[in-house]
Amino acid sequence: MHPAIVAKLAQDPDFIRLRRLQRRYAFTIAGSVVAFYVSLGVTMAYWPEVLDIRLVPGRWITVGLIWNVLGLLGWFAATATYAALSTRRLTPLRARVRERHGWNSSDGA
Amino acid sequence: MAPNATSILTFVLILGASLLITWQAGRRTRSSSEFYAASHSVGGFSNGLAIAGDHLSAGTLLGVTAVIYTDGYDGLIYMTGGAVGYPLLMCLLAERLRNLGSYTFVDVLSARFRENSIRVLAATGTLVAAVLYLISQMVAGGALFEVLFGIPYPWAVAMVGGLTVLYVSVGGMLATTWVQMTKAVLLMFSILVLLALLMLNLGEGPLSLLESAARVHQRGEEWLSPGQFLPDRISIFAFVLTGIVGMVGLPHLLMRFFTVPDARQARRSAVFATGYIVTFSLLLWITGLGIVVLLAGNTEILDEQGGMIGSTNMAIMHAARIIGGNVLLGFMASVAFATLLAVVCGLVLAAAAAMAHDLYSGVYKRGRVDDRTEVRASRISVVALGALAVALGIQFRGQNVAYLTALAFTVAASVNTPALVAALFWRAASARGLILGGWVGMVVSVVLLALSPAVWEGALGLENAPFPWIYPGLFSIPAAALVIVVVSLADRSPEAMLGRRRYDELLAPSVLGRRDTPVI
Repeated sequence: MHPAIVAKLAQDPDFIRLRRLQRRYAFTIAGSVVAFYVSLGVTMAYWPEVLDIRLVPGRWITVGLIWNVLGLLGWFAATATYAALSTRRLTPLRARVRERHGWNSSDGA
Repeated sequence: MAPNATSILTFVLILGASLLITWQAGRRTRSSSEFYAASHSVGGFSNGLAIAGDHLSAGTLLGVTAVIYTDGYDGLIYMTGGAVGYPLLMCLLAERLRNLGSYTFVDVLSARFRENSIRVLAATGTLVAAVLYLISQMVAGGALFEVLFGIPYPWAVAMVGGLTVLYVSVGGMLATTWVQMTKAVLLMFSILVLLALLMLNLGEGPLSLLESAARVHQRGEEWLSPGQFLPDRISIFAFVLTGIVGMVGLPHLLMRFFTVPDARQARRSAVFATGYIVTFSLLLWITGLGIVVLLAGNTEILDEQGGMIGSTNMAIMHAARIIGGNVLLGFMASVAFATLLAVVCGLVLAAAAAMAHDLYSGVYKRGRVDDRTEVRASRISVVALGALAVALGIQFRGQNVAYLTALAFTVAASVNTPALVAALFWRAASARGLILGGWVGMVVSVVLLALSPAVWEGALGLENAPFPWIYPGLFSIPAAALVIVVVSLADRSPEAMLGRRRYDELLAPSVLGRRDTPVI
């Protein structure tokens, strides 16, 4: 790509905002997922007895069980949330930037 | 479990249907775009089903139920860790991969770094990870056929290999996608049927199954304590780290994001796939509990040595026969067969793309290969990979398939993921850093895997494995990342400067999509 196009895009406020929002959504969601999972690993490694705590007396509804089930459901929620945010918030910005910089025309104007 | 007419009939029906799919797909597969990426025409929902199909391998159906059977709660940990990569894949890679690549993730690396050594590294990482994953599927396939049809194990493995070669070489990505979708639907249906019959047969709901399983398991309440298959802290952290970064580097999953027309469909694929996998995982765990209750104290599933006939990998098949007779056994076995066959097809296709597209066409011929020659090279690669998979499948007989699958994650996490993440997100990354870091990750992970108990003692039959832990990811992943960072920061060569300029140039297409494609 021609350096002039790169430089022009880098100064476009919508492009800057698009990158900032994309990073914010992606890293916040991915970071939360990693933090949730790593905390499960740390608990398993250092305080495994915590995962054995029964939330319902006399039954095997344990902290570990709930943690894992919430984790699995959370992975889906995280994926769906990013997809929704990207489509609703980022796609209009992408469309504006593409339009402004001739991204949709084959002559590259 | 003697061979029976119902099992064979169901198996032949599923085999016939998949051959028909392959024949139909083969008629539409001529160019390399059709062979590797189904002409980028697969919809988000279909691709999501196919991704779920890739994820839910024989390692999941047979191996995870075996882990639940022996280690209880750990089966759930295994599934949570196995799926944690999807949100990361979604947030960090899905859109960028689709926007920058053509057929394989190596194309994405090559878009930024023009060096051939990058292609060689990434293609080798793809091959090693895919072959390790293939071993797990071949082991499961061999065990399944041996138990179901009484075919000797080596012949059973050879049969799976032969069918895979036929499917992939004829139908390419389109056949693989259709077979994956069919298998994903069959898999969900089969687990729902099995779970319903288990609950009816035992007269229990999901929560009471948990209580009953803890009561009847020979290890008692300890069976439901976490971390039985991860005996120490090193193993736990290695498992956690490998789960987080491993999936992001699995070549056959990454390849799926090139089959969709645009980034929006790539996002839809990831959402559908994650939803499907999460639902299936929860159902499978409850089913595993039912299997424990059903098989407790049952001596007819034991061999002369007191172990389970066909190893604990066959727990779900024994349960199917007990509650549904030969009809359910035949159906479950056929679904398991379709499952592993579809995954093997995806893996062989990814490995063949690495050999023919990345190494032969990209490196050896420097891109000067016509379409027909490349497709022919891919088909030859498929045959070679099929033969290799059969040989390794025989060698690794009897290993837990869920564990073998984790080995593939380790190599992917140590080689592919650090290189891909650095290339896409770090401007200062240099080709030299990626190449050195990638090879360090490869060598450390493969050597430690070879020295680990599963390979040293399990496959090679030696004593006292020099590397005492089962997963080497805690050492190999940081080693690769560290070398990438240090070498890249120290690299002031003209090639490194060029690589940084290419980062700026690729930023717009990676965020906005390619020119002249619809707004995504």
